[in-house]
Amino acid sequence: MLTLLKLIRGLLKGLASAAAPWQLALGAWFGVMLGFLPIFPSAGPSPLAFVLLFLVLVINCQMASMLLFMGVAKLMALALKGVGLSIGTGMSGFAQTCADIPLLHASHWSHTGWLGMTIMGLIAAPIAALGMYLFTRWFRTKVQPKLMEKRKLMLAGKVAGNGIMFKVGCWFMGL
Amino acid sequence: MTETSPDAAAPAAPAAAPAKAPGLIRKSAVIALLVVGLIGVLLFPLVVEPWIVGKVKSTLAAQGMELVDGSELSVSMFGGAVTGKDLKVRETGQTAEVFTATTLNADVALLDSLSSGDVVIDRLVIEGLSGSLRRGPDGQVPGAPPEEPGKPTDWLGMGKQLLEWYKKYAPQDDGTSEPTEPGKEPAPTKPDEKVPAKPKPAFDWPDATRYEPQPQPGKPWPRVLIRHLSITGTSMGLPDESPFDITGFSFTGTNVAMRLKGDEVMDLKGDLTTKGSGPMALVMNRQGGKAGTMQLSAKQVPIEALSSKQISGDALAPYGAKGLADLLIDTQWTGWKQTSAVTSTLSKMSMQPDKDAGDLARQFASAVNAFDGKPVTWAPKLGGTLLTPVFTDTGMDSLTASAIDAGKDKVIDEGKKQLDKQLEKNPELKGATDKAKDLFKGLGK
Repeated sequence: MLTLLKLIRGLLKGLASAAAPWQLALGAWFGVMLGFLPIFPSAGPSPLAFVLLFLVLVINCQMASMLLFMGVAKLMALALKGVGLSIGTGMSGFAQTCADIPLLHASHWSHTGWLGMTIMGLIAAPIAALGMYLFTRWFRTKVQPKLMEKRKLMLAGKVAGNGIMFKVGCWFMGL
Repeated sequence: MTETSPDAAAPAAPAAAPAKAPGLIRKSAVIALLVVGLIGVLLFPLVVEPWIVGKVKSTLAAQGMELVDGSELSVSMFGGAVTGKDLKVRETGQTAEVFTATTLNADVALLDSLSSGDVVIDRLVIEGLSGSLRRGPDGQVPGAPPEEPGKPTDWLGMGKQLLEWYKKYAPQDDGTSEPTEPGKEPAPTKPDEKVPAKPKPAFDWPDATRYEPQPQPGKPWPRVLIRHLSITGTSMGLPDESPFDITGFSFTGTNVAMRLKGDEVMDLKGDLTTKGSGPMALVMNRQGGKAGTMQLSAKQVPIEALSSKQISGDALAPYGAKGLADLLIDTQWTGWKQTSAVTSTLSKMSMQPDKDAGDLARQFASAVNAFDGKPVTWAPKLGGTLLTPVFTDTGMDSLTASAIDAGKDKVIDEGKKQLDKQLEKNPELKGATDKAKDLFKGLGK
């Protein structure tokens, strides 16, 4: 729970930090992909997932965003196993083709279940990344200035209200 | 302690410098990865090398073999070199060694292997190789699948199986495929049908299916290509004791592979000495897997061993042939079509066919036995395909000419002997016998 809170705080701090919106968006993209893709199933490690992990380390994406979205995507993947399998079974021909491509076969794309999950990840990741990018921009242009303004006023004692909760909220967001 | 507003407490800050745009690459992670890589290199001899050697041992164990203690096998990360010293392999739990080699050096071309998907070995040098595939007390050949005890090794059958395997998976050639029946024209080649991936239940996800790749015609599995090969050895015992047991051998070659790409040329040269079949030499050249030539020469092959069932099946066994053969087999092929010329000089030859060998065998035997062991040249020619060679010229002309020569020699020898006998009895006939011998000489020409 504490880890989850730390992650959420890291993401919110990221929203308010100097991190560029693309870093948060990229973190979301990587997180969703790694959440849906098999990384180390019982049939063996997936080279494609390991390439993504390597890129996560090397490319300057926002880690908290990546980890949070990865966790959320993993939970979604568990909940949507049936849907993933239906998608994969519907793409049996493609799975058969992937069996003859060594990299994709090793990355479990010839497994109808994992293929379905990967397809879901491929669809969800750009949506999450775009959403994160737009949300960050909206937060920084619309919400963050208002919060900063309110904080200044509260500190100056000009605004009444639940000061402690507001302070905790601001601390949580790193404002 | 009260929290102080930074805005209130801090003096008027100078105008903030514009924030530096974050870079695309996380420099700290790159440094961390480099450090991890360096640690990996340092740990290679402690972790990866024992793991690779363990893999080699487990592969041998799967074949019922083990690496004898004292064998040194090492792997170098840089350059992908595998080196071995005093290598000894024996059957698990046995004392007799199946293979030994004094040195082994293999340089794996890592970049080429990764880019081509093949196992490319730049240089493979094995020295002091010796071994014995002699059957154990249980009648089984070491390292080979169990077979019926007492059954001799069918070398011809094994060769055919190897060719069948090659035909199934080798790149198909243009219009020269194997005819379905002898005498019929080869069927027009069809484009290879792709073997679909095989579905298997996924044990980690009960309702899912996992498709496994299947070997495809033309590219079954990653091939092994040895760019420079050199093997020298001292002895190699065959499963059944015979005059073909090898007492020394050397093989050198370039671009050695079972399957060749279109632009690759393979050269292989081998020299062997045998226990009772004299020296043998092999020279092979293959052009991109579609054409090739091979010369095999064997100077003193015992015909009895050559015609045994283990070597030539039932083709020659009923003839009961004995003697020595000086053989030169010259074969060339394009696709599966081949032409071969066999030049053989058979000396001290005799035949004792089986009772049920047939009239032709008996006629042939009586003709051969009439030569009285004199050297006979037999030069048949073969055509057809590599899998089903057929005689295009039985070589009877060469055999007849050789027989006439042998007959002449026999008559001359016999005549000279009779003249010598007469000369001993009647010395006054010396002049006449000399003239008669001159006459025989003329006949000989």
